[in-house]
Amino acid sequence: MSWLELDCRHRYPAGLEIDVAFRAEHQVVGVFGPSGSGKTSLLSMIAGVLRPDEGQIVLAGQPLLDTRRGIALAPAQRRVGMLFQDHLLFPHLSVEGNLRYGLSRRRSTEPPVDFARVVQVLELRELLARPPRSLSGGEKQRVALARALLSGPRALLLDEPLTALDQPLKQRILVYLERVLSQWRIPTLLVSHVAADLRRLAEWTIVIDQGRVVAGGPPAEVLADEIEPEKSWNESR
Amino acid sequence: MTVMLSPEEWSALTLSFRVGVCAVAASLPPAILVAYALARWTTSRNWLPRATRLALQLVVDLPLVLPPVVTGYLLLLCLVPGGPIGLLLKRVCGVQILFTWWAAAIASAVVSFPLLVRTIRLAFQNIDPRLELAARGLGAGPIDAFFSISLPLAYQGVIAGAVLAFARSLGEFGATIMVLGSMEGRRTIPLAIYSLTNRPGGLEQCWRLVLISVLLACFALAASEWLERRQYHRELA
Amino acid sequence: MMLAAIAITGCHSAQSPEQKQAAPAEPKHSQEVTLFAAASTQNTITAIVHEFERLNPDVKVLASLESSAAAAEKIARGAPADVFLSASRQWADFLADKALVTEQHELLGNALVAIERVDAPWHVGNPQDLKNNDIVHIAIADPESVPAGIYAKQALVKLELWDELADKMVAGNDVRHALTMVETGAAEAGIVYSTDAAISDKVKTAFPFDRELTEPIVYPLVLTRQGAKNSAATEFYHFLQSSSVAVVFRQSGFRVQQKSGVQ
Repeated sequence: MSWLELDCRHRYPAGLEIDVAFRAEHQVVGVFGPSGSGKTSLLSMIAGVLRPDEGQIVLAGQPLLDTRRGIALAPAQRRVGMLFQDHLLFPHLSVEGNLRYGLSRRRSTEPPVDFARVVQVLELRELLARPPRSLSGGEKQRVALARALLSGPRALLLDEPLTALDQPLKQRILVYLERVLSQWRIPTLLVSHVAADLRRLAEWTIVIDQGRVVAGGPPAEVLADEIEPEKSWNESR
Repeated sequence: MTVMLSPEEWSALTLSFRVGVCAVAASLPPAILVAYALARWTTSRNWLPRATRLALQLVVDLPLVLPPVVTGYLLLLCLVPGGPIGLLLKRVCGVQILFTWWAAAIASAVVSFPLLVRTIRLAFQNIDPRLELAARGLGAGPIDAFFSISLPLAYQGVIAGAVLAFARSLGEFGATIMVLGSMEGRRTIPLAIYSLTNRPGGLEQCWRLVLISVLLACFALAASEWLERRQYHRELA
Repeated sequence: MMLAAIAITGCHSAQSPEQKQAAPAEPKHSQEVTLFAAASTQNTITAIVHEFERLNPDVKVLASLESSAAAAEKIARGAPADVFLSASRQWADFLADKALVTEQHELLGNALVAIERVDAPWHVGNPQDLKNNDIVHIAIADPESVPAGIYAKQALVKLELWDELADKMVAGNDVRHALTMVETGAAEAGIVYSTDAAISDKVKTAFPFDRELTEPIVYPLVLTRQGAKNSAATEFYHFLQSSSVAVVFRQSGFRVQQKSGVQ
């Protein structure tokens, strides 16, 4: 039973042509590829911030987009939590304001999310009153993750959540990520260009290159031959 | 040489303030709307939105470069009893606003509108548009996202623009004389100064109003500069 | 110098060859005359200056047409001016008080008229008609600083209409502006000089104001102290008072007060 079915084509004026089709069945699906291969575009299409030229996206049985049938849900109606690479915390709100932004905009029909539990799991209690600009990179990442969780998403879209972090910090965030993924069991697309991260977190991975899916399978198989600098750290086997 | 203001000078001062406040208050909402449209509406590939944007920009900026007397003359033609706006106001509201301070406020609003839009547009352009996308992903509709994210982030630019537009309105002469005239007791500060200089010995009498004008202008420029800088620093943070 | 040969555009009959007071010696060098003139004389004075320059090829007249107030202020502050045609006594006297005037003569007279648009559906036949409800706005020049406005206010005060009409009055920053207000329909009636009424084909004279209602509407011609030392300026000063020029001023609607023998 797949939670996401996607089949989209989009051409950028600059030249990159995206033509992706895949199904996501496992809870955590990795999207692997070099930068500029269309990974972020893929997430943007699912989140509804990029409208592909044509295609269909079905999330949990509900069509988010179907260009032939003229269906295109607004981003707010898709209920997917997107985590941007640079966090995009709201600079004029406190950490708590950021966390409650999505929480207060959830429809009453949706299942409740436990604010206190999210704060506890991601260890945010000390940060609640602070403005985002005073946070470290790792703290911002945790706040952004919590904010996405609190909006009650049906799926999480994580765009390179670990890339901007140095190694020790990355280890700690990985722990948080694993905790969140195992506790809430939300279907997740995890975009990364670092094979090691996907091997650790993803159960299944697709590989994208120049806008096309070139491979799909368990990370250990499809990523086996990838050459990547992180290997030398030898931290995640 | 007394420092106390004469009744004529007082009436000029209060009229100028009333005209300026009303002009800015009335033009603020449309200015915010236009500034936002101009700031966000930049990436379209199609010629129609691009042409519309260009035309909008042109119409908004026109009073910046047109001689104010020309702007005033065009306004006069619109406001006369047989003119398009004059006729409408007479039919619908039964009022004629030509040669009242309302007309002066309209003239001020039109002439200061480009400054207002420019300043606010810059403020919007300094905001990462993806913050709004993030908000929409968290369940906010487009209008909600605008009022909860973009507008609060741009508010210092909005105030800076309002101060600047108010200052411009205090200095407005050319368009105001066309639609308000220069009747005793109904002159704004610049009109009063002009009238005074046309009387024997008047040049000596108008120093107080000249001084007030210079001080107000300096204050307004300093305030708007300071606000714009704060906005900029906040964006960097 | 054959001033009698003057032929300014427009029609006028042969001139009596009487003006010979000017131009004793033929000027050898190029000379300049600086003229400040009231804006309301613009169309006429420009034609006259051209004619003077045609007759005196070695003289250049630098004409500055602006409000008499601005001109007088500039002259009082040392702007080089030889001849000044003021729109009111007040500004000629202002310079005389500062001992900047050598000679002056009240050259022109004007008259105050009420105007309305040629296509106006109402008719204002006399001052009392200005009270009619049709007349929402009455355009005049600034009644505190511009001569035409000052005269208009004097006339209405004398007629005991000013207070009653005060709410209808709107003022332009000069008399041409008041004219524009009536032309565009912004004001239903206006009070301007008869010379202004004559230059517009969009307005007509509704009625003239009696001359006694205002102080004399005159344009003093001033020869400044500096101008008295400039032979070309003196010549131009007298040229403006010649009967051939008088014809031109009359064509524009001015009354011309010929001088009798003052030198």
